[in-house]
Amino acid sequence: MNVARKRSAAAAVIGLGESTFSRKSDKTARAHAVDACLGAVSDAGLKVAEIDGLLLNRSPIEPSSVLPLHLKRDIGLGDLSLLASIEAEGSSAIQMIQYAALAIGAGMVEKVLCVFADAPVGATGAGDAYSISMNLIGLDGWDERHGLIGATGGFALSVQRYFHLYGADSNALFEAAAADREWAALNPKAFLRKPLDKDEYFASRWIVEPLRLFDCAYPVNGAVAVIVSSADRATDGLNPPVYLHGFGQGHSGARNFAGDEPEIQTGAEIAGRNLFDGLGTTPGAFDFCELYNPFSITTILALEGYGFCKPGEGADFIADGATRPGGKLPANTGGGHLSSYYLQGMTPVHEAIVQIRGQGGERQAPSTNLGLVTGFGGRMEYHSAMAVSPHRDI
Amino acid sequence: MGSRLDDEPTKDVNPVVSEILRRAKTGELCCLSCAAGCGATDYAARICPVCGKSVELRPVSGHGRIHSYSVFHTQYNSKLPAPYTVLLVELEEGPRLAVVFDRGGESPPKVGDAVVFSGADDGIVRFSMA
Ligand SMILES: [Zn+2]
Repeated sequence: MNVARKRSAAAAVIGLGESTFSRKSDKTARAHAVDACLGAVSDAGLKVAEIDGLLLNRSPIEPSSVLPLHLKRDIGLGDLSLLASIEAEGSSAIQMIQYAALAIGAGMVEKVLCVFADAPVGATGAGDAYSISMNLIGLDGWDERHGLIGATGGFALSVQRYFHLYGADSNALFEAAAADREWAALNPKAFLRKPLDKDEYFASRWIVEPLRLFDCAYPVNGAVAVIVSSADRATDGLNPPVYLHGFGQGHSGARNFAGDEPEIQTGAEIAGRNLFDGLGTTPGAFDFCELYNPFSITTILALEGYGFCKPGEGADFIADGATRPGGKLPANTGGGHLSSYYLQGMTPVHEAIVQIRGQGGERQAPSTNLGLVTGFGGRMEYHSAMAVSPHRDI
Repeated sequence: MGSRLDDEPTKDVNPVVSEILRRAKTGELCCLSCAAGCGATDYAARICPVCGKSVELRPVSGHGRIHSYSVFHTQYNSKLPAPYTVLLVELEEGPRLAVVFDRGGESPPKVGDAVVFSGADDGIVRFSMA
């Protein structure tokens, strides 16, 4: 039976705010965060004094001083009943919303502001900010010593492994990147909107082979904030509520050891199972999805991991049009991390809210009764997912 | 990050890394293995995932296969001029380790190819085609 249990959402997103998104080193992450927070408060039709909870998320490669608890003072918040910084890499944005919903359900707090801010683009671009070690092997300093640098290096290993296991090649990555660009063309706020030509893709420079420039996220400086409220109070605002129907986290235990495949055995399967079991439903129930996708390969792995298609079939699923404009499962409808903008976990969260509210303009998905939003950290081992809907009861 | 690579291995903060590198320089590659005899485990383990007892360094044969690889086109430090290839090698004992491909004019590596430990004179563990 694919029929979901009848369920009623307990919490909803009632406010969405964003700073300007910029490719210039003009403002600090903290200043962007203030803009996004105040934007969310006004978008929700609230007064700052009505916010009684604040959750912060900074980039995992930045120190805590970039987005300190003192942000509370910057935005004029008074006494609070909830305040914390959440750090679980790219799975943090959804985790913030999950913990806000849980705290509201537990009676701790009523209106929780959740904000992510980052300013990776400096005077020489954003490359330096991402030349970090992922510590894949698990010996301090080992990866750097052996030249295994950056998230791109880690994901390049995933790509090569994927190619080997499924007989795929760079055409698979091109399809994922090109599909995102098709959506971005319809999103006035996306940064890369020109259709991605196959020759242009293949001519783009290697970042870490087999990943090319157009396989990688487009970083910007900026911030996104949302406000989570109880569902009972969600209709008082200025915008349609985005009801939160379920959450699932999944953190993979796959090791760098014979028999395990950490390159493709990600946390998605676990997070998906937790989410779908909680909802009493299957991937087929979702009308659209917003996937955390800093690299082209991760869209493919997420579609497979969350069960929208079989392992090894993600690229064909995309090439056949399923996730593209007009397809049966619109995915990354704003252009995703590759073509719209990279603000870590908030990129998919932001777009999901726009879609549920019906504010997608040219890129509005035809059906948005149930949407999947995902986030991940590490090399996809840390996953979070949530189900969103414009309907309180589904 | 770059500066750490140019340091002597013995100055590494993690004593396990220092010891692996010290022994690798003498031609003996080691992996982490259960002190109570459960066998080899991954390099991230700090206790045996099977029995929970401590792990210790044990020599391996130095033979393995390429689990995956990637080619870096940016130079991050003086010992690794670009382009260079990082291999994720699955040792025949089971653990996987990132090493640098010691190419001697051979054809490019492929996943599944047999490779062998070829030395770590400069503090970087290198493998070549078997
Ligand atoms: Zn043991």
